[in-house]
Amino acid sequence: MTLGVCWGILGGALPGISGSIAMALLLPLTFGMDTSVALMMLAGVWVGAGYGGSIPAILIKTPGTASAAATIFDGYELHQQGKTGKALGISLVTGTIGGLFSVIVLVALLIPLSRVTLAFGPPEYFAVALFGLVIISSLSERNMLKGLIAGFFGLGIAVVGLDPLSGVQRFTFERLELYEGFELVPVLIGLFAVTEMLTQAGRLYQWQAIKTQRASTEFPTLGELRGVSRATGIGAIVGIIVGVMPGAGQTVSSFVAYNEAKRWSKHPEKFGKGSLEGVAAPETANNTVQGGDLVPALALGIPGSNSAAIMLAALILHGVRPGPMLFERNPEIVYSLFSGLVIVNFLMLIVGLLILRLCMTVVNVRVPYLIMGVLTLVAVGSYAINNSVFDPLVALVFGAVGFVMKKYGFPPAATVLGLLLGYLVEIAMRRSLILSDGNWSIFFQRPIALVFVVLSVLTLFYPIFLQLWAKRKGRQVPALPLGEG
Amino acid sequence: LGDSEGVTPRTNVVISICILVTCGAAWLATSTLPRGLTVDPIGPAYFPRFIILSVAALGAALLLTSLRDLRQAPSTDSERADSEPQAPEALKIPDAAVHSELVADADELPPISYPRMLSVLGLSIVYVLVMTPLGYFISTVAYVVPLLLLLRVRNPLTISGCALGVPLVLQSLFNKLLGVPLPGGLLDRLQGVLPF
Repeated sequence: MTLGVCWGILGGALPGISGSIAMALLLPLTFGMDTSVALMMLAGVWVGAGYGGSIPAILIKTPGTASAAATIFDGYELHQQGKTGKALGISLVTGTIGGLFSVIVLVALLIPLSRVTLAFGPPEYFAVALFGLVIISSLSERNMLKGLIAGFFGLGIAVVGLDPLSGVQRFTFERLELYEGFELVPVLIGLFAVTEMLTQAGRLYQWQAIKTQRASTEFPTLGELRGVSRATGIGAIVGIIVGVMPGAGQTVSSFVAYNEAKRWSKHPEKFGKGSLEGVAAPETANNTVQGGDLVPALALGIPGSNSAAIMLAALILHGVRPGPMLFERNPEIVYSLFSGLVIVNFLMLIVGLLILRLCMTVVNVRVPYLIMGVLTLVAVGSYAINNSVFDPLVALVFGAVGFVMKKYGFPPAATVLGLLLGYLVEIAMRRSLILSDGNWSIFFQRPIALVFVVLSVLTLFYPIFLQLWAKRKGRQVPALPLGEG
Repeated sequence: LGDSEGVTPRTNVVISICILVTCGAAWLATSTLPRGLTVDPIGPAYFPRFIILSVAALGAALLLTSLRDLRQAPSTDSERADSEPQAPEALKIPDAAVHSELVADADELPPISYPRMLSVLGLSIVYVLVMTPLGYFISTVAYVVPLLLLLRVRNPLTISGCALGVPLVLQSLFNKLLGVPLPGGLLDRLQGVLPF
């Protein structure tokens, strides 16, 4: 866990590595581990990256992760005023508070929700999975059609291999390596890490180096904590609400929290001029999102963000299928994840305090070395899955595919979701149709399934209604930077 | 139904035609799939076809909206800028060169060099292909040197340090710590021949 938190903080602090990339790179190393240990390690990375991203945001005005971008407004201002330690301290402490709060909410929501989902049959599973795919694909990019195509492309990748019901080979091209379908890890690593490294190799953009060497984290006083309590509370509430909504993620939560904290603050005029509240709100929110993200991921098997998708991938890798039966079949994994999340949040408080100097050194790493390090790790990590060069090749090919997708506006994250949901969607759909003898009306006859089908349709047509409404009012439809996490 | 930056309606038309053609080819491929179980009324080809039809419908919708956008495309750059969907003021990120596709401020980042990007990809593919015959250590040394040169690193000391250090660290991590044997290749074969 400590290693996970360290890796997460360092990965989060590096502007080229997001939390999800840091998690994806670590995924192959978790093979030999116990499932609970692997999950706790990944949870450590996730939590650590939440704080790590704020370090370069405060020190060099460049967020390590997209979710830390809102921290720049006041964090960098505080740094310029010579209050770097205070900004880092507030970020660390409020992030920990947010993380701990999210665990409480996770436990409070997940246990009752998992009882409800136990009543789900194949039609409900299909409807819920379809809804998850539709909502995430539609929220994740500006062009909803491309988001959906990317999501369905992911379902298509999941189809490759032996048919789960009849054992018939589908699109395997007689390749033995494809009988079991594409390995999840190389595809994930390819779409997340290789795509990003190819982009960086093409661009070779070097962010600013950290020049100061005297920064240290200062814990806030009780008075300062009281001063930011309102912003912290707002950040926590926003983080939970945004986290539970699939597809929104940490970036949106931190910006919404910043805005709301400013609106409800007694001193809104100080925002943007070095307000501690302006650091507390986004940092609390982006660490609170994690618990919210895990609610649909663990209860329904639908990840709300890239990082939650990697947590689900880790479960699948260890032979555990996420979703309603998780609590019934593997309660020990869920409960150890709960306790693990509490521990990693406390660990972050300690490690975050000690690791600052190392982070500052790591942030100054030049991009070519970062690219080299990640690509060699991708190759060896993917190779280690089956001791075969086929897997690193898959990672590289999917890296190229992800690059092309990104270039033309197709979100690779939606493809990952489709890939993760593929098995669940197909099994649920085919079992439902076997039950109904091929009649699709089964999805409209059961109330829960019907609700999710209607929600999916509404989600699909919502942008069209929005655009028609905006046209009538003569307004532009806003585009939101969504989906990171 | 806005679009990502830099993708024109004309590009979208080409993309959607490619999608429709691919769907056609994939549909033909599903016709070769056997029937499967008798208790399964829909068979193993049903779900792939469901996906293909969905993607084809979405591709057709993309084609139609792109053709509409092409007809309505503003003629001047200023008009084009006016018509692009804008993020609300609160969600704009000032001066943040974020390396994320979702929030990157494209104006601040240098353009992508495709020859360099493709060279890195090609070199990486070759590296993976020769990993088994040459062995992990030798292939990684042979990979890191040209990779760093491609990425404009010119210091011979740094290059040689990385070329030797990276494979040594990773091989030790995987072989010793994680118990995952990496391909020995040439070095394994030379072990019996060399006197050391």
